[in-house]
Amino acid sequence: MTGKDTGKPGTDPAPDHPRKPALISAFDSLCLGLAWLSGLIAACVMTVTFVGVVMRYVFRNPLMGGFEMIEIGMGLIVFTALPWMVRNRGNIRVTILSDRFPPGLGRVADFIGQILGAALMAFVAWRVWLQGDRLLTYNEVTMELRVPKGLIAQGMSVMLIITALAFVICAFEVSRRRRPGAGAETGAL
Amino acid sequence: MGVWETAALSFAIIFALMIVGIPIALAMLLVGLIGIALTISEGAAMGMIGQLPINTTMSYELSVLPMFILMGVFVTRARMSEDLYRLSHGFIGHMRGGLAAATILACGGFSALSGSSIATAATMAKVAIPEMRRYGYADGFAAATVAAGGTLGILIPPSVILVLYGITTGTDIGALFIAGILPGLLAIVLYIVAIRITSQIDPTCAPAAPRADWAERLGNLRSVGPILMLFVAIIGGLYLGVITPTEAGGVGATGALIFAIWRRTMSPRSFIESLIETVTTTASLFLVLIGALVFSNYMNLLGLPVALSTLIQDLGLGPTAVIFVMLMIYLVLGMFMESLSMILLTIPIFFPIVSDLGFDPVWFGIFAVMVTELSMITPPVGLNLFVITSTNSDLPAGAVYRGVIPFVIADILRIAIIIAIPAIVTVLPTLAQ
Repeated sequence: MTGKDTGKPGTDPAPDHPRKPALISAFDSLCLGLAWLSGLIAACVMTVTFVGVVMRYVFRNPLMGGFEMIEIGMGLIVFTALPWMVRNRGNIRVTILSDRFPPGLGRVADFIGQILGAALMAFVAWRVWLQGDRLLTYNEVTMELRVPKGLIAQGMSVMLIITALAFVICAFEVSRRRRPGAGAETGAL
Repeated sequence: MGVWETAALSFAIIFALMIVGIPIALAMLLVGLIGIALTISEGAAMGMIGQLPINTTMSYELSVLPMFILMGVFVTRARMSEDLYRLSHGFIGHMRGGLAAATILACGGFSALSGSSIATAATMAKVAIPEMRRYGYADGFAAATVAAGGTLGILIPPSVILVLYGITTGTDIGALFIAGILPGLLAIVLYIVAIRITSQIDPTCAPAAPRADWAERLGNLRSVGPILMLFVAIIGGLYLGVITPTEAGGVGATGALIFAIWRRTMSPRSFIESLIETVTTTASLFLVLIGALVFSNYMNLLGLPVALSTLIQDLGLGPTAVIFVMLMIYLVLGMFMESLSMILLTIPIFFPIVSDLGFDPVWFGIFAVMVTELSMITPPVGLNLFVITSTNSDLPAGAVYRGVIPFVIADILRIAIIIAIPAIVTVLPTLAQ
């Protein structure tokens, strides 16, 4: 079976755990703020899509740049939501065996997973940043709205760094947790 | 190491990582990247991972996902499940097994607005199980009905898994959605037949409820009517080719939002919560998609699909035999994996083979979804069974597993039917072209 990870920011499952450090609280607020931004962009994509259809069929006048707005919006939705998804332990996992692990082993596996996530996200961020550099060198812009593609890529890279940090904080919390988390929630699909 | 050994080792590592609880996306990404770096070149791995996240996310096609997820979230918050259930309950609840049949119909209706199997099962469980228990239905049978009805979520359009299949294989998402309609209706019919037969064999497990009068039936129709018309409009628009799948999603989400506001179920707070729920689900799916694409590229660069095609030719296996072997592999995988990971892990290998053998990619997508759906209601993993037993903790798991048997038989029969008569899947997309 799959499930999301255990635990949520702000609701530490271990009651004997000290209060969440201020730095982590601030970081979580940043992640939540980015998720709000992502939600706002999703609402804009929904509106642009709807208006595009209405413009085309009712006013016989397609919405200029609508296609590109949706494409750019989509990229932003995903990357700005990633840190909150990680902090909210939203990664899809197979939990059939790991739920039955002894608590110590479960924590070790969870810790390794978080560190692996941090390392992979940092690596991907580095490569995406370099790709952004390359796109900037070639002055590549989007077709209609003329947005520099390199800047979009580097924005994505920054979000990936924040995602990597989110994984690091999750790993830190796992290492400080004295007891395993509550039962896994069910997955997204 | 040759192709076979390398591929086997890669799969073994992925399964090991998944089983110990490493997120699926990270397992696929790690093995895919290291695999490409070791077997092809470091430069290939580094170049790919720089471009893939940008190109994959800035995609018009991918925006289908958040739009339909948003629509599903709005519809769920509008408490449509209760009305859908009341509507079908009013029409057929008085028959023997009628409440179970009504549950299947309501699940079918909810699936037409939601692309998720678990969301369908979890939402309908809250409404239908207490009602069936109130009328004396056997616990296991009631729970199994909802678990089976939930699987309609990923077959009847919109469907999150069909979108991901479409993106990873380059298959037209609109065609996949349209292709899901007839098999979805067939599923509803076969489930209702399974309920009828079960209630004939054991009348105590599914007694009849009192008959509703026409005023009540028509009253329920009034509240459900607008949202079902929204479904007809978006699927009709896709069928006629006047809107793209993304536009269908955007129109559907806007329509569902207007509907939720009309029903006074959408406050500003719940609107924001819906948006955040949608984007976090989208982000987690995106990460899995990136992992799957990297792994898929690795398998292609390694040459596994070509090696498998050659093996199939050497063995002289016909197309039906190959499909049968794939079915068996899915059934085995389904014992410990769920639909999304099964589809994303197997498609890179199976898809080139079935394309070579001349199968319609749309047909294969529906076939793969159906087979993985079966895994959602078969023990030991059966994610839908798990969702229902975890939300209704007093339900005995053993009784639920027994209760699901008629639905598993119906699923197997349905898979056999679409193998024997592929036109059930392909006729609507062909007519729509």
